[in-house]
Order: sequence, then structure tokens, then C-alpha cells
Amino acid sequence: MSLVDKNVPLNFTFDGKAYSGFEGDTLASALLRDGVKVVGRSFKYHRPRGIMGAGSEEPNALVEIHGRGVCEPNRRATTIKLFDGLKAKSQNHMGSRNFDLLAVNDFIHPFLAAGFYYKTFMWPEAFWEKLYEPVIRRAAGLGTLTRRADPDSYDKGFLHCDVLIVGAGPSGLLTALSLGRAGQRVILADDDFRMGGRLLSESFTVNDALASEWIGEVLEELSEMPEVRLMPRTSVFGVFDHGIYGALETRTDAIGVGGARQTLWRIYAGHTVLAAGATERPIAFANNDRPGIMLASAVRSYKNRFGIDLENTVLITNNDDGLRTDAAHIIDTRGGGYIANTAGRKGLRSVTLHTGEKLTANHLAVAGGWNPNVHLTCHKRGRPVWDKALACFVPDAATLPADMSVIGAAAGHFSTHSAFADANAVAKKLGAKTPALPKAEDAPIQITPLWHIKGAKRAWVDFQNDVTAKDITLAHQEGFSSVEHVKRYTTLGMATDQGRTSNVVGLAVLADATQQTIPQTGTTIFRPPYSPVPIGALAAGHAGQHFKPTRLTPSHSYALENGAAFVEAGYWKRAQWFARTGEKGWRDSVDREVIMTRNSVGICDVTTLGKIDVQGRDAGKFLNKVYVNTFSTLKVGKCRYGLMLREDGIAMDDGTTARLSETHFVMTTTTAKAGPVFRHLEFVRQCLYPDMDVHLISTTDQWAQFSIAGPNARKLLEKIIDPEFDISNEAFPYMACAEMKVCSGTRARIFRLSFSGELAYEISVPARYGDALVSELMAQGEEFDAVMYGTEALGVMRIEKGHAAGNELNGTTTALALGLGGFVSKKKDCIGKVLSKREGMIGQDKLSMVGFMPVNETDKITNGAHFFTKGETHNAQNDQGYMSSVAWSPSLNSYIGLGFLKNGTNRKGEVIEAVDYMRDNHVNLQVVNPHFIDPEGARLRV
Amino acid sequence: MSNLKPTLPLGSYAKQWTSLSLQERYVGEIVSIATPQGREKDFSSGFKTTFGKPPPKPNCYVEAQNAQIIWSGVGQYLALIDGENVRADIDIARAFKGRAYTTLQSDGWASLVMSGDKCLDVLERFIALDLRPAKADFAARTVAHHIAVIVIKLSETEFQLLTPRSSAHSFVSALEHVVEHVVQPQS
Repeated sequence: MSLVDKNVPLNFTFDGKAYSGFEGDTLASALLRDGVKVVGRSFKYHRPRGIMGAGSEEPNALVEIHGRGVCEPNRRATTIKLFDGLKAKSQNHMGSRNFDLLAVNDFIHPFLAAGFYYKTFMWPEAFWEKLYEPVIRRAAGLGTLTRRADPDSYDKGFLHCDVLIVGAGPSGLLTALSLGRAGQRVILADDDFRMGGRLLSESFTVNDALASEWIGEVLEELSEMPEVRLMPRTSVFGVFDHGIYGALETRTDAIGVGGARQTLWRIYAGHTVLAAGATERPIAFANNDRPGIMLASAVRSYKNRFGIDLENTVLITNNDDGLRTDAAHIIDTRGGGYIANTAGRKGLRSVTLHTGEKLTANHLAVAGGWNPNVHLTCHKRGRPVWDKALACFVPDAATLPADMSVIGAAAGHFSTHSAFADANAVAKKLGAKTPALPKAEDAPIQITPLWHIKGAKRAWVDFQNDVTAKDITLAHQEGFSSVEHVKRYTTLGMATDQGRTSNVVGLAVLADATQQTIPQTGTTIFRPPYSPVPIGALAAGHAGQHFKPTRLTPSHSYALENGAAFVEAGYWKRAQWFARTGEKGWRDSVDREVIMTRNSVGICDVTTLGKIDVQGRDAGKFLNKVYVNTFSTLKVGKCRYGLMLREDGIAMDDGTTARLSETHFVMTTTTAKAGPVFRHLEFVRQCLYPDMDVHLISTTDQWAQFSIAGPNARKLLEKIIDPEFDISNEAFPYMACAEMKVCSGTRARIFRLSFSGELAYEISVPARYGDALVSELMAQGEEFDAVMYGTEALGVMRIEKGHAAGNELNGTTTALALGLGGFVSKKKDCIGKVLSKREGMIGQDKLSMVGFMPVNETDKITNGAHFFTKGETHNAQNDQGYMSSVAWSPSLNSYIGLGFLKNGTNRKGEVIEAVDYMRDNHVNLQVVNPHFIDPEGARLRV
Repeated sequence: MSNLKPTLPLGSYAKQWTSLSLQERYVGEIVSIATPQGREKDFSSGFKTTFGKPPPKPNCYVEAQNAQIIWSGVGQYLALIDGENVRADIDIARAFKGRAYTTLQSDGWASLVMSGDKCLDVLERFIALDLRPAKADFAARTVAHHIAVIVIKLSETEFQLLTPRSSAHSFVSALEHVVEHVVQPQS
């Protein structure tokens, strides 16, 4: 009795030809039922390959799934749940799968042994890029991509449980039942779409009834438990620190059907029970890769689970378990029998025994013993140990993660009875009552290992990567004796296969070559992911507009409606300039914004500057520690510019800080450094000065803040400020701050600060009023021709004024270099002060910030240009510094720049060369005062 | 001269799916309240006087008269206060009589309420916290989609999410993306 529903037929195509299967089929089972033998071509030799396994161990039957104009390559036909309308194609051939031009490789195989590409294609040298590499690239690889955008969407999620059970075979199901009945939060995950594990594939009974009945009863009970989550089609692919597991849940194999195709889960588990079963391994013998040669366990799966009788089957086995397979002829290697060769290029026709007898066969079942699926026990550096009696690696309790138990076949306990016994033992350990053990088979393991039947012909070890036993011995002959080196030289166990069927056989062949035992040879290190995870699933929705968050300013809508072009500043979108009709380019807009601001008044949204509330009795002392200058003496109602250093003495950030009360300061940071500065302050508060009474909270989003700059700034502000407040120069001088009210009672904070060098104010209102305030300011500013200005004009005006910004606070400059050496208080200590005075950071020959103007006023100057003394050779030894910021100044009708020049402060008036090899721009510059506009600061104090 | 018209961060956003709804909810005022170091007892007493209840424990909130107060960090709380009062931080500081530091935060956050049977199915795809066993007074601060979020459990089928105002549109967009993987759009 099979588990497919023959009442539900499903139609699909393979390489364009129509086939049909049934609900419950995999693509592989449906193809086998329809008599398809060749499903693809091998990686290197392009030999015809058929279906070898029945689950995720399948190395051969890799196919492409097509849909919506794209394809997904390298999908195992054995794990694709058949659906109506499936379009699958074979891969890795030039021509059709039955007539592959690259099959010529098989006939020249002596030239294509392991590492052939390291040894040939050396000459002629000119052929490499033009001939060899393109040809190899064309031929290499598994499957192809359409290079079109993935039409599917993916999801991610976070699950929490007391116990994660990996594998829903007999041990996993019984453990889940006991823990579920005990009320524990359980996740039961299995990569198959049907739960039951090997019980689905064997003809076993449980409690004297068909195993499928027991599975059905258990699943029914589990599905009614609210604390148990059943997750079929979920592959747990990685074990990470702190009990975190990565799992990929597949909802559908169809492409572009809507909804999340796959979900990447991060599972937080209190304990994990690994019940991942075991994988049967092949035996290496001559021509053991022909279509029709399969694992014996797969032959039983197709018979018992999918109802497919594979006719004319011969069995070769080295253990008792293989004898469960129905076969017309049995070769038990323990009796001395073995296979000398096979025949049938596109489908097995015959098997030649060691005696020379030739058996007609369409299928050959190979039973080489079982490998427990130990991979997940090794992701945290656990190493399995060799069990001689079982002839396999089993998990080592000594190196197992502390929160992981391994049961059933994954622990090397292969009988159903021992799986149930393990389940009850682990459930008891985890505090659950256990049911009576179900009655089940308890066959002992009887195996005499046979890994490789030596002969002159090629015997495949890694079917997916076309690695033969000869490749491994060749690698050893060439000096690669470490298993890790052999893996990389031969590609054994690489790619999507990860050595599921090949690993131990390969180790055995290597051990034989090195005259060591298998445990002496050791295993390669298993790392996540155990099974392939699509990049789309890893991105899990973080694509396109969801790639990263976007932060919008309070005036964003206004800016959109008024022709703003936007620029990304961190996550923020800031208005860069506001284009007006008739302007031919951005320079027209920026020049206008600068000129109108300097001549009348301009408004700029500066909400993006970081704003941090610093409160507490020790707030002033705290700021003394983080700024180079003193803040504890700042009077209430005043602002002060501050410079912050890193521990190593390099400038970190700057900004103004206002004192609103004895215990309350508001710090501003640059837009880019808002987050890092907040983190730095928290570190200082919590780790360096935990005894200080200081609290920090970001208020960046709370307050909408606008700069109002220009000679008419006060007049404009006076139009909106409530009449009881006086902002005259006398009552509210430069660097004053206060809480006031605007627009008939709206709470506001006014700071008299200037970044542009003009008379200027910054006004903050609760962000709910930001959009309304900007409209109101512009409406009230009509009589002054008020303009909105963006970050470009802001940048031009700060360069004209000689203010340092991000280009100057670039992680290499000191307070001294910035011309702010005098700011560093001699009366107090601060973070970075000591290291800012170390050798190499002080002295006359060090870089200092100065201004530059071209000698020839029509010359354009460029950012990043390096400075040289006139007449000196342009080399690193003579380098005198670099340009950090440049702008076209509409106020001066010239390019201007800020930069760092050795001993710059004392070289004003000197003409130097600015050399920009990147843009091929060499100009003569005059060194000038960095304050191009109003160096005395008269304008901002009027 | 006109009074300025306030706007909600998400412009009164609301969207309905089968068995789930998501809508912006006006909170009133939000005030951060911090404990002066060394004056914890005074603070607790001021808290009780002001709100009528002791401060909430970590990852919890308390319902007080016209207010909901969330534990937001060591020595810090976030009070969600009914009604509009843009000077709420000043008023609370006065009520505490100098035994607390307060900061207005009302405009820093957008508030969304998610309602429906599928809330937990959606949130487990969005937020790393273990919300299924969360108790009735659960509130915690975390991140979702690289954006800060405060999760407040209102009932088994209703959660309030506070997220920073400037990135609230991105937050909603990402959340909608997740919702649509779990529930169907309303026909």
C-alpha cells in the first residue's frame, strides 16, 4: 500500500514532455513511475545519470524548476513535491540530456583527472583569457541562471520553544508526543513534506499494525496540541550559539505563485533533540554510476511509499539491512561476492560479477551501510567518533553541544525499537512522562564493511562532483594526504551535496591509500548550512524598498511638493536643492538658494541633526568629559560649540549644546554621527562614569528643527513668534537659547546659532507641527523672498564660512588640525586629551585646515587633490596635504576649498600646486584664511 | 496668524485584511521619566503620588488613571498619557517635585495597533521576541527590520507597536509585506 493518492492525478512536464503523477509523489517518483531513467548529466564527464536516492541525499537527479520566465537550478528531484503544472528541466548538458555534446569529456577522461586544470592550459599564455577560461566557464558549474529578477517573495521569522526536535521519524515523533503531552513547547521539524521518516519507506509494523497507522495516530494527536508546532518541509540547516538554529521552511516549489515561497526561521530552543536519522551509502565499484543503480533504501522507498516496483533488480549488500530489499538476485559481499562491472550507458542493462557471470538487470540496489546524520552535532566544533562495530561515525557525547541530545539512527541506533527507546529516554530526561514502548522490529546491525571494489575502471565516490576513487588516490600520490586538502583538490563532498553519500566512502579510500584507519584519517569539518539556502531566503524580504529603512524629515511632503531633489544622508532622505522653473541645472538652484539666503533669508530643515537630551545633576560634569571644552560653566539659556574626541585623540564629532536648566542640556550631533555618538555617550555613562547622575535620551525624532538664516532671519522669526517673547539682539544675543511659543501658543525652542555665517536661528517645534511650521514660515517669508535651501547650499555656505563638517571630521584629524587646538581646555581632562598630544600628532609640520582659492579664477578645483610645494616632484615624500571640501562660491564668484596643509596656518599667501591625477586636474592655489566670508563674525552677531 | 495644525506620523493610517487590522492610534502624549541616581526611593514615592501605582517591572507596563507606563530601561519609564498636552513633560516633572527627569517623546513615536487572530503569526515573522507566552502586562523594546519598536501586549489578539516617527513609513511598509504573507487581503 503506497502513500500516494491515485485519485488525484497531477500533470507536469520534464524537458518539455508531458507526464503525470499523483498527489504525494515527488518529481523523482513520478519520473520513475513513468519510466524515465536519464534525468541529467554528471558534473565533469557528462555521463548520463539517473535517480539514485529518495530524499535529500540524492546526488544525481538535480533539475531546474521553471516558472514566470525564471528558473531555479540544482533542485533535487527527490525533494520536489509534485504539483500540477510543474515545469522541470534536466541540466548540465550541451544539447539534450540524451545527446550531450559535452559527453566527449567521458571519452577523454584520462586527461580530466583531479586537478587537471591546475596542470594544463599553461601555454600559450595568451590563450588563457581568450580561449581556455571562456570555454571552461561555459562548461563548468551546475545548472544555469536566467539572470532575471526573482519573482518570488520570501519571509523570515523567529520561533521559540522548549525543545526543538529535528527529524520526524519514529524517535522524533515519539519524543514530540511525550513532551507535547507534558505541555512543553515543542517544534518538530522535518525536511520531508510527509512526516514519518524511514517508517514511510519500509514495510515495518508498529504495535502489529502498519507503521503508517501509528504515524497517523501520533500526528493527529500532535496536531491538536496547542504547544506543539509541526513543521514539515523544514530543513534545519545550521546550529549557532546560544541555542539558535537556522531552518528553512518551504511552502511551495512553484515559482511566482504569490505569498512567501520560503521562510527562513531563526529558532531559539531551550534544548534540541537531533533525530535526523541516517543516510545509506553506496559502494565504489566499476561504473557504479549508471542510471538504474540506486541505493537499496531508495528502492524500498519507491516500492513502499510510492508504490513503484522497479523490475529486474539486483542487490549488492555488505549488511543485513540491505537484505530487506526485494531483488531477483542478491550479491552479499560478506560471502565473497562482488561486482566487477556494469553495462548500459543510458540505463543499466547488466551486471558482471567477479566470477565473470553477467546478470541481466535494469536496476541495481546498493547497500553499503548507514551513516548517521551527524552534521548538526558538528556545527559548534563537535567531532564525531568512529564506531567500528557499526562501521560509521557517531556523535561524540564529549563534544556534543550541551543543549543537544541525539537519538535514534542519528546516534547509530538503527532499529525502530532502539529509536523508540531513545525517544523515551530523552523525554524522561527532559521531564516528561513516557508511554509504553511501541512494539517494533529490533534487528541487530550485521555489517562487514566493503568500501571499494578495486579495478581498472572508474568507480565513483562522489557522484555529484564526479570524483572517483582514482581521483582520491591520485591526490594522495601528489602529496595531498590531509582529508581537508584532498577535499579541496578533488572537490569531494563539496557543493550542495556536502558529502551525504560520499564522505565516508571517500575517507575509506583515502585511508586505504595512506595505510591509515578511517578514524586516523578523520573527517572534514561540517559547517552550516547543511542543505542549500537560497539567497532570496537569506535576504528574506530585505530587498528593493525593504532593503533598508528610510527616514523622512518633517518637511518631506512640503519638499516633495516644491521640487526638491533628495539625497541619502544615512537613512535620511534630505532635500538637496529645490529646483524652480527655468533653472537649467542643480547649480542654478544652489546658487540661487545661497545668494537669496545671504541677501535675505533662507530656511533649511535640520531635523536630521542628532539631538540628545542630557539630564542629571552631573550632566555638566559629564559633558566636560566627552567634550574637549568646558560645559559645566555654561550658563542656563546659552549654547556652546563643542568638539568631541575619540579615545585615540582623533576628532569624533562636533555640534552645539544648549543648557535649558541647571540639570538639562540638549546636545546636537552631526546627522551621520547621531547613532555612534549616542552609543559613545552611553558607553561613557555606563562604563566610565557609572557613578554620575546622568540620563540620556534621543530626541532627534521628537523635534522638527529648522534653520532660519540671513539678514532678514529675525524679521521673519518675529512674524511667527508670540508677542511676549523678545528676540532682539540685546535680549537674545548670539548663542542664546530659550523655550518660547510660536504661532499663537505652539511650544518651541529657539537657538541663536549659525552654520551659514549669517544672522541665524534654529527653531524646534514638536514634530507634529513640523509640516505646518515650514508652510507657515514660507508663507510669512514671502515678503522677504524667503527660500527653502537644501544640503548643497548648506554645504556651500559652511565652506564659505570655513566650518568643518564630515569631510574634515574624517577619522584622521585632530583638534589641532581643525584649527580648534585652542578649544581643548587646559583646566580639565576629557576623553582623548592625552592621546591627542602624543608624538606625531602635534608640531608645526602637522596638517592644519586652511582655505584655498585658485590663482587663475577660471580654474576649477577638485576634492581629493594633493598639495605640493611649487617646483617639487609630485611623489609621496613631497606630499603636503589634501583638499577635503570644495564648492563653487556664488558669493565670491570663484571655486573655494578647505583642506589640510602641512604647517598650513603659517603658509597663508603661499601659492602651491594641487594635483589630482584621478581627474587629471592640476592647478595653482593660493593658501588663504578658511573663513572666506565674514571672518570677524560680525554678520551673525547683528 | 494661524495656529499650527498637528499631523500624525502616518497620516491616520489604517488597513484591513481578513482576520487582521492595522491602524495608527493617537496616543496623546508620551513622556520619558528617568530616576535620579541615588534617589530611587524618592522617585518611587513620586511615581506613586503621580500615577497612583508603583513603577512597572522590567518588560512590563502598568495601567494608571489616564496613563499607561512602560518600563523602558534601567531607571527609565515611558508614560503614555491620554489627551493632548504638549507640556506634559513639564507637568509631570512638577508632579514629581524634582524627583524625576522628564523628556517629551510624544512626537518621536508613531503608534500602531494590530488586532486580530493572526497577530502572533504575523509578529513572529517580524519581531524576535517570544510573544506567545507573554503575559497581559507585557511591554518590551526591541528592533524589527532594523527599526526600533516597542511592543505592548494589549490582549491576546491586540498589540500596540511604537516605532520612531521618521522611519514609521518604512516600518509599516515592511510590516504590511509580512502581513500579506500570513493573511489574505480583504476582498
